[in-house]
Amino acid sequence: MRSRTSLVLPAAVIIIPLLIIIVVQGIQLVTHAENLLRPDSADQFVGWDNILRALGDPTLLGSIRVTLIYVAIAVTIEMVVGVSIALALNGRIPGKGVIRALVLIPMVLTPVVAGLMWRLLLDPTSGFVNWMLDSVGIGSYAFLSEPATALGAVILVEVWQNTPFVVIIVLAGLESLDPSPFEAAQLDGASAPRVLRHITLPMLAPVLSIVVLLRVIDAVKTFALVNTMTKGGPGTSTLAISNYVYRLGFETFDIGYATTVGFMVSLAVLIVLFPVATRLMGLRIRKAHR
Amino acid sequence: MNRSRPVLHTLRVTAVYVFVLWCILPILWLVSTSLKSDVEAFSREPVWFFVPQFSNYVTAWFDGGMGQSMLVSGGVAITSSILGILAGLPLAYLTTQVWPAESVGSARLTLGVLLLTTVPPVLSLTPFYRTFFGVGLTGNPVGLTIIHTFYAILLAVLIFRSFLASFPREIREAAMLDGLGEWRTLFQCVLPNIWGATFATFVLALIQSWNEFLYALVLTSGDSQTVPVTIAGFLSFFGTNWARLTAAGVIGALPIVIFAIIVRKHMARGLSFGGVK
Repeated sequence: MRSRTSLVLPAAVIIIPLLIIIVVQGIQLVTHAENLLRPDSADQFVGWDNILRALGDPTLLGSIRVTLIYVAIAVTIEMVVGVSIALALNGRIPGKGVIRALVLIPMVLTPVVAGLMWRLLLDPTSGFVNWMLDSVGIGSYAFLSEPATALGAVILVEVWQNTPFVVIIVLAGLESLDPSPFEAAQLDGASAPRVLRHITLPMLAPVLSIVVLLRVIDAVKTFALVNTMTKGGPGTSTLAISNYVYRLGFETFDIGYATTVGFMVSLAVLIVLFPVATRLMGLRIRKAHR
Repeated sequence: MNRSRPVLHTLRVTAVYVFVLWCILPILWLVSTSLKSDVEAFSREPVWFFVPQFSNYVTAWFDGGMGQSMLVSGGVAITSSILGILAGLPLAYLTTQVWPAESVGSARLTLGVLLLTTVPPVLSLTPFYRTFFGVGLTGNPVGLTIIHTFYAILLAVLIFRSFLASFPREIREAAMLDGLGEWRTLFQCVLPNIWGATFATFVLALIQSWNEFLYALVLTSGDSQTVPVTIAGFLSFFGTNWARLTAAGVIGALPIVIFAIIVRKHMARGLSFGGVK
């Protein structure tokens, strides 16, 4: 019995102190108007003021909106393109091994490098993208400094970076499907679109839902791309929630309020995503097992 | 099918190749810019033919501090990945082999891990910073290593669990009858059968730590900066020196990209936490 309990110990030694820090420091920071630039402010108890301030904060509302748009558009494009390419890759194609290796590169590329690289590519004076647009007569455009296009440009990079994730997982899923339904469909002379709609996609559904879930969880956390490409600007047009919390805590040093926003946003994310995650990972606690 | 529909087949192959180009052309641009002189790199008209020069790499490595950052990032990533496996594996073993994977206790523990994986890191950013600053764990790699170990444990539990859930429990039962304790059963009877999963976990934890930016930005500074923090700092440090900036980007990304390509066969299942068998 003792050696069983000790299996938890190594993980508990790291995780439990960190959880205690989150709770204890969290409560302290949420209820105080602490600012890192004013040392005396740590003792300034404000009760619910931080929470009330967050509820009426237009910038927070804006950053939630930015994050929702970012996640919805990016994950949708990643899924549509990623699944299409995986379907196209499934089967004989010249150079498949090399393709699999090359497609991996954007996915593992350090996000900071990806962000900076695209920032230079999209640069209005010397960027390659604008040179191309110029040479075909469209004219150059300052994508990252116009509120109308900045968010779209960041989403483009998110899509560039993470579509390969969808391709790789869905392709692996396709390759592990039971071939017999496909053989039966071929004998029956079913057309390719019908096979796709009635056999491939339904059989792939569990994999697809896990991929969507993992992409959503990851995209909600976005920080590096926005930070390196636009720093949240122009104005707050690309300010995602992580970037807003960072800005509050480490640019205006309003750490009490930053913590409050972090807590409230995290709670909202959990309420929405955790039940879905639990179901898709097959982890619902069933009463019958008690 | 391919022979009967040559048009469809050509379309399919073209779509794949266009996608590969879309993935790879920006990278080729990055690498070629890093080999140009500063004037060529910043030129409005792209310079297609140039004499490659490696002075940007030398500058980025020494003056830009990339050499130092690579050491720090490597240390943090390797340490946190190994610790994450050592702490996460026993927990996954407990919740699949000692307890059946369907038991309430197992589901509860795993739910906890899943909860911590789902929650955005901004929840704990300021509490960790304030605590770590107070006890001297900022400005050096120690605090960051602790945080990265935390995330490596979560990753390890979920990946190992997906592999061990289908691992026959009889092996452990036989080992226990022979009088081996849980730890020796784990390391002598179970671990040798799941080296693939262990390697996949190590690879993904390493990439996760190397690329992590938010905590690294807050918890490290000066000599303890990791690769992403140093590269992000280049933008203000070298201004519009694109050649050096891109050289730093190539240096920082190269080890992890090469590593990932070499070990890619192990990644797909780990990436989806067992969603793909």
